[in-house]
Amino acid sequence: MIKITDLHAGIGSKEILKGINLEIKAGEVHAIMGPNGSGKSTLASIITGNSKFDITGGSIEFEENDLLEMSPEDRANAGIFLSFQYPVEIPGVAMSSFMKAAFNEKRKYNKLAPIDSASFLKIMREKAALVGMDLSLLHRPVNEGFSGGEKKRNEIFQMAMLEPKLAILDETDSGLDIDALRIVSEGVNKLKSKDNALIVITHYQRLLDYIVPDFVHVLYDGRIVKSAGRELAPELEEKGYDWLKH
Amino acid sequence: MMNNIPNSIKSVSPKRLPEYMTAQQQKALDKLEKFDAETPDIHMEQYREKYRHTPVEKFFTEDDTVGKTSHGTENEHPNFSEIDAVKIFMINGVYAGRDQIVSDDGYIYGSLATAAFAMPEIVQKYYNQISDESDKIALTNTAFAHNGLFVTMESGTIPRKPLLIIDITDTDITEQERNLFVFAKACIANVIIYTTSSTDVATFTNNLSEIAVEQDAQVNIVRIHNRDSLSRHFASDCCRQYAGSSLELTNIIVNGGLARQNTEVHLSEKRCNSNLYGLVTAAGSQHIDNYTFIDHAAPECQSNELYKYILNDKALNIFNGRILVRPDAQKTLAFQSNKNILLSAEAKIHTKPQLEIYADDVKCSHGTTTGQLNEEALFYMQARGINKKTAEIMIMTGFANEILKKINNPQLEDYIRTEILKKF
Ligand SMILES: Nc1ncnc2c1ncn2[C@@H]1O[C@H](COP(=O)(O)OP(=O)(O)OP(=O)(O)O)[C@@H](O)[C@H]1O
Ligand SMILES: [Mg+2]
Repeated sequence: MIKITDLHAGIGSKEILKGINLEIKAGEVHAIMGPNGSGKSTLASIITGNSKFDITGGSIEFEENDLLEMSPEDRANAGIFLSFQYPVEIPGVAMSSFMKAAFNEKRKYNKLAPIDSASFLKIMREKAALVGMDLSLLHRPVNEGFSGGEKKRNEIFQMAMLEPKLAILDETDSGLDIDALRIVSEGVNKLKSKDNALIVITHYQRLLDYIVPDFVHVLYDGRIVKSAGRELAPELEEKGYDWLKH
Repeated sequence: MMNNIPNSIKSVSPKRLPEYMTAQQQKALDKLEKFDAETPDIHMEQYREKYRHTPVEKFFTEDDTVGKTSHGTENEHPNFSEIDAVKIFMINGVYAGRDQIVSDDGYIYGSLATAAFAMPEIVQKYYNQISDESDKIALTNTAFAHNGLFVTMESGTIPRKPLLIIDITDTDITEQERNLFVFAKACIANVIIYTTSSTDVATFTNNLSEIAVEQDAQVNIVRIHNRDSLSRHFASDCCRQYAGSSLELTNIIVNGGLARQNTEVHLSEKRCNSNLYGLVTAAGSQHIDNYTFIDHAAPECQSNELYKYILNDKALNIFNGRILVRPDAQKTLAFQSNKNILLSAEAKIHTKPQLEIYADDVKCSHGTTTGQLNEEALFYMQARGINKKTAEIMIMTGFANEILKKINNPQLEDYIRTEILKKF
């Protein structure tokens, strides 16, 4: 589905990613772990198309397309989704109108007519229920004044609405209480199929008990220094990252 | 006194003005003539500062634009007939109704000249009592203007409908409009004032409204200025509030060439509440200048100001917000905020908060933010598949909505939103 080859990127003169190689196939779940500042969110941002980072080398292929040539909105409509580590507040723009705009852009991309309000409302209700999100949030401006947990839940609600092929969850677990973590994870699992893929960025094994990865990678100082099966996560929790330093 | 109004409604032909008004006019004229010579240096300094970015001369001397009427462009207007309101038309600064006092849904109105004879007790009590005597352009208005609008309400009136005042300019003459609003005790009023022009015409207008909000009255005024880019407009709202009253005044400047809006509120008695909101959308070389002055003269009053600007191209704009807390005005709460979005590198905003606090038990704050469209929010929306242009429009609309929703009339609100988006 996605193939990242020798990706180098940074911001200004600072090099953040120093040669990333990663391939993900449909149906797979990949966890990315690693110390603070190692470049996990940067990698997620670059896949999503954030132009604040400079790509200095390498390539990303997404379903046979050169992803780096695509605009962020085209990438989203082609099926890439990022659950932001820090969801952004948009004052004055109601969640429901934001979601409707996004939903209809995707339909337009797929050459479908805009959805009627009644059907849209019905879908929103279903998806909100799936992630246990309070419906009243839909009338409020996007993320404005949402609690930390509400913001994260809202990210997964949006994921449920847009049904992406490749979803990247950047520390979606942080900020969620114990029950919310279970509900949201169950929601994510329900969205999972053999046709889509997941990248889960996290610091803790806890989330991976619910969303079980096929592979675990350690991103360390801009490089993937270790890749293994799901058994790597508890090992990291126990030993930390020091033993992986070269 | 106020209860007698309906009986005293009568038709008076204002061939002349009553002596109490002409005396005020003469006094203003005298002051005006001696203004430059007799104003003490220190006051002159303050006065120049008040008009620093928009000198009064700018309104009077740019004669090169006067008379340059561009033909063929009929300006569009909202569909006023669809709006359920008591409607008053003003044409070139003159009340366009019959020569009598009308009472409709609790609003009592007529031309100021008619009212000066028909209801002298009220007019004499309030006329030229709130306007700023140290301001040249206000003095000019007092000296020359008389046939504007008079609106009042009886104590405790709660009208069903809003009052919609449609103020249209259609010639390039200099227009001076003088209005007087007297909101009696405990009445509840909703007023929308829409200033526009019928075609693109180089107008110069000098409007002054005195607004008295009596004890416990609750008054909501929305001003919408939507003229063409040749217009030069000066307007002052001079308000005085009495005990326990609340005033919400929203100032939306959709379009105009040169516009200066003075909004002055005197909180003269205890427990007044005053909210001033503003939205300016300017493009091209439009020059919009808002000056607000809140005079906390009594204890336990609250004021809150929020002015927002969206600027494009080479628009030059000003927000000057003065708050004065006098020594007696203990337990004052005064907040001011100015938020601006600059869409081009050449657009400019001068922001000048002025807090003068002479009482000790007060809470005052002010803040300004100016920036581009929020990049993070733009990216967040793009990352959800929304194209950049749509995302920009949604963010701008979101920014403007906080003020637009004060319009409190869905048809007009939608119309103004569309008008604003056309500019960017
Ligand atoms: N806009 C920026 N300007 C300068 N440096 C940046 C910028 N964005 C990221 N960086 C730097 O790049 C490095 C990688 O940051 P990134 O957010 O990708 O880390 P992370 O692995 O997601 O960390 P965490 O686990 O704390 O979320 C950090 O050193 C960070 O300070
Ligand atoms: Mg991160």
